[in-house]
Parts: sequence; C-alpha cells; structure tokens
Amino acid sequence: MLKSLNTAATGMAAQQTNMDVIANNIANVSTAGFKKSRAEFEDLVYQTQKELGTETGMNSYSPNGVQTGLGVRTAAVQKDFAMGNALVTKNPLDIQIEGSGFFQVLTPDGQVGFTRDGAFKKDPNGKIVDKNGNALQPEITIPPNVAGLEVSPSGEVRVIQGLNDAPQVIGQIDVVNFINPAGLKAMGKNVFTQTPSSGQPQATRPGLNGTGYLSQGQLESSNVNIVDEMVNMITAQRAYETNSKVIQASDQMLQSINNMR
Amino acid sequence: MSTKGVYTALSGALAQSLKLDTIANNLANVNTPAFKRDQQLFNEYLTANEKPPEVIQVPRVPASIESFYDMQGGDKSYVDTKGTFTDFSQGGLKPTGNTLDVAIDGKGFFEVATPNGVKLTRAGNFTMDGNGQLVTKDGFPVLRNGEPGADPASRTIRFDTGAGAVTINDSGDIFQGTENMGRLSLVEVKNPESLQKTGNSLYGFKQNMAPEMTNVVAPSLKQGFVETSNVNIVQEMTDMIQTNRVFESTQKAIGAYDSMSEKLVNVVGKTSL
Repeated sequence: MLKSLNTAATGMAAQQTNMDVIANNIANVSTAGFKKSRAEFEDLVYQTQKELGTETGMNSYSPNGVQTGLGVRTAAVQKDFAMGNALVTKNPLDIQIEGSGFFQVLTPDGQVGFTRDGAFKKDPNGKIVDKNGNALQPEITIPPNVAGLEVSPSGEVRVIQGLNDAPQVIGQIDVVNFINPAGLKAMGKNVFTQTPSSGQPQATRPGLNGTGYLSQGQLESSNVNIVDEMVNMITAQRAYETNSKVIQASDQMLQSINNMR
Repeated sequence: MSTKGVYTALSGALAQSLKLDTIANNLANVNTPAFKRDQQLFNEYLTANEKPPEVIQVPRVPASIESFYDMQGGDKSYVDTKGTFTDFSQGGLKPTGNTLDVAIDGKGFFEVATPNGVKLTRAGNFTMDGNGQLVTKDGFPVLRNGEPGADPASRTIRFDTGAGAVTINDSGDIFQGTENMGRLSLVEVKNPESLQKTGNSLYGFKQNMAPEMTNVVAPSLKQGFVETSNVNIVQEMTDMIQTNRVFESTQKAIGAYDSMSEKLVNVVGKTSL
C-alpha cells in the first residue's frame, strides 16, 4: 500500500521537474541565442514478488512472475540545439551563426565560455565584448574613429576609416564546434562551458567543418515554440494531477484499513 | 463456525493492494518515452479440495444447501497473483525534431550494451557522449547490426565532429553526411513473455527463458520522433476506482468476520447468566 504512495510521489516529482523545465523555456522565449530543454524520464527499478522463470516442476518453468515497478525518475534534461529564427537588427555588432557553432568568450573566472548569442558591444577601449563584458576570443579591438565595420561570412572583421580608404582587416572571428553540443553545461547569461560529455572544442573558420557562416546585422532568436511548450505544459499538469489522485486513492485505502476496527 | 475465511478476504485485500501499486507505477510513467504498461493478473489458489465431488443422491440423502451448490473447497480459495503482464502495444509518436530521437513504428527493440550484457529498449531518445558515440540517456552504447555472435563492443556507433549531419532513414540506416555508418540493430522477440523489465527503460530476459531474437525484416523507424508511453489515463483511473472499491469490500468482509467472532466469543460463549 505504501509502495503506491511513494510511486505516485516519484511521478509528481518528475512532473514537477518537467514543469520547471517548461517554465524556464517559456521565460526565455525572447532571449537571443537561447536553446530550449526537455526533461526526459525513465522507469525506476522493479520489485519482484514472485521470481520470473522459476522451475515449477520437471522441465516446466513458470512463464511469468510478479513484478511491480517503483516509479519514475528524470533521466536527463536534453538541450535542443535546433536553429532559432533570424531577427534582423541592422546593428553592425550583432552577428548570427547561420548553422552550428559557438562564439568563444572569456568569462570572469578566466575560462573560455561558449555562446550563440551574437549581440556584441564595444567596451571603452574598443574591444569587442558580449553583454556581460566578456571579451570575444580571439580578442579584437576596434580602432577609434572608424566609419564602418564589416564582418565577412567567414569571420573576417574589417574596418573602413576614411571615405577613400581601403577596408583594413583587424581580426578574425573563429567559431568552435563540439561533437555533442547537447553535453554542454549551461552557466546562465547565455554562456555554456564544455564537459566530458560534450567533447573538446574544435575551433574553425566559420563555414568550415560543418559550422555555419556568420551573418552581420542579425541575431538568432530563441528556438522555443510557444505552442509546443503549452501542449507540454498541459500534459505535465494533467499527469501531475493524475498522480495526486493515486495518492488520494492510496490514502483512502489506508483509511479503510484504519476503520476496520 | 470457522473464521478462517478471514484469510480469504485478506488475500483479496493484498491482491488489490498489489494492483494499485502497479497502477501507480503506470501513472507515474505516463510521460516516460516508450514505457509499456503493466497489468497484474490474479487467479484462485485452491488450497485443497476438502470434500470429494459429491453426486446428489436423491432421495437417499436428505437434500442440503451443499448438494446444490457444490463449491469443492472454492469457497475457501485464496487469491493468488498469477503474474505481471506487460502490454507491448504501440505508443503514440511525438515529434521532437531532435536528429538523435528515433521512434520504432511497429515491432522491435533496439539493442543496448550495458555492463550487465546486451539489453533491449524501445526508448529511442538517444544522445551522443563526448567521444561521439551514440548512447542512451544513461550512457550505454546503442548497437548496430553485425555478424551473428559478434562482440557488442565492435558494434557501437561513432560519429565524427564536423563530418556532416546525422540522418537515420526509415529502415535504420545511419548516415553522417554521405557516409553510411551501418544499420541500427532492431530485433524482434518471438516470445515477448520471456522479457523482464529491469528499470531504466531496459528489458532483459527472464532466467531459464531462452531468448528467441531475430532481426526485424522490414524495420520502420521515424527520425525526429519519440514513442510516448502506452498508458491510457482513463483506463488506469477506472481500474483505480475499481481497485479502491474492491479493497473496501474486502475490508467489509474482514469486518463481518470480526463481528461474527465477537458474537461467538462474547454472546454465545457467555457463561455467567
């Protein structure tokens, strides 16, 4: 009896996780470069009341045993790195990777972080930084008094200083690729770090080795689909409710036991 | 009178309790990919035929109530759990758009190499590990077709960085870019009753049961989909109500035996008048 109470509790906990993940997806629906996640579940261990396939006589085996499962657990929260839509901003420092790949930024703890949010800015010294001031790697400094800034699809950054000057190359934006981007760890602030399950970062020029070309003046919007999330939210909420009904039923059965005498 | 029938009622209560445990597990796994619902089956367990089958000998024996309703000890028969049966019917297909999600449409199981040997699963929500190996959510490698008896370690699937997008066609052939990486192993189990759930969405074989596995001839896989569980909430809810009420009835039966015993002890057996 108490088994079903616990089983239903694991079900409610799992749906709670599901709801937390959906809530985070919906909260980030307008975050540039955000990648949605999905909670995935698997069944827990099974308790055997009657052994399966035991010998019941000469050359005869019981064809089935009695097993009850003990609930569910969250196996993984899977990130979905599908492309988001393009958002044209016309800002020369907004860069989108049109395909797979990540920009590298130097985080305050000295580690290299990876982001798909290409909304870059200039710091007071002209260095290209992200929203949080993390410098884009390899570092590129824009000289003062430039008339125009241009980022080529393969990552070459050029500036035009005077009207009649030829474009001058000041740096190269490289992107990195991972064998398993879903294994990256989200650090918040649109930055990911590598883990043993993501594999080593492989830096390359944009457009090579399966990465996408860069596109200046546009941003990648989040890949959250509100309709999908709404449907998932309905299923999560109803599954939560159903599991609470099991707890109620178990409670009633316990009550009728207690009322026996 | 005998009150040993109270144990018959008790066995009924225990059986209903076990049934509720199973329903609870089905409902807890309602969102688990490719989960297959379980059912408990019960049968009566005859302790003994307490009387030989009687032939009504009219008119030499005066007719009694037993001569018409011969129960052969069945009135004192306990409920026994016959077994847990897994319903292997197809779950729904839910689009996810993830390239490494593969749903099986129809029969078959994927083969997975675990530390405890090769196990089967229908949950096709795969992922990659840091070495580019195709693995389940628990990190167990997914296997491709190979020679019969080949070492499972030689049948794992490894992708390279930057060698192009992964596509898996309906018959399970895996391509990275234009390179054919082999075919996902999809096996059919001829005797599904030999399968045993081992948790983590995996299936093993029961002891003493010879696995009868063959490769599925015409696999039908769907990339970008996951199979949902085949738990039907309406059915489970109905079963739960029924279980709950039957449990209550067995409690009433136990209560009736209790009050009968009480009368027997305190009223019939009253010595001081």
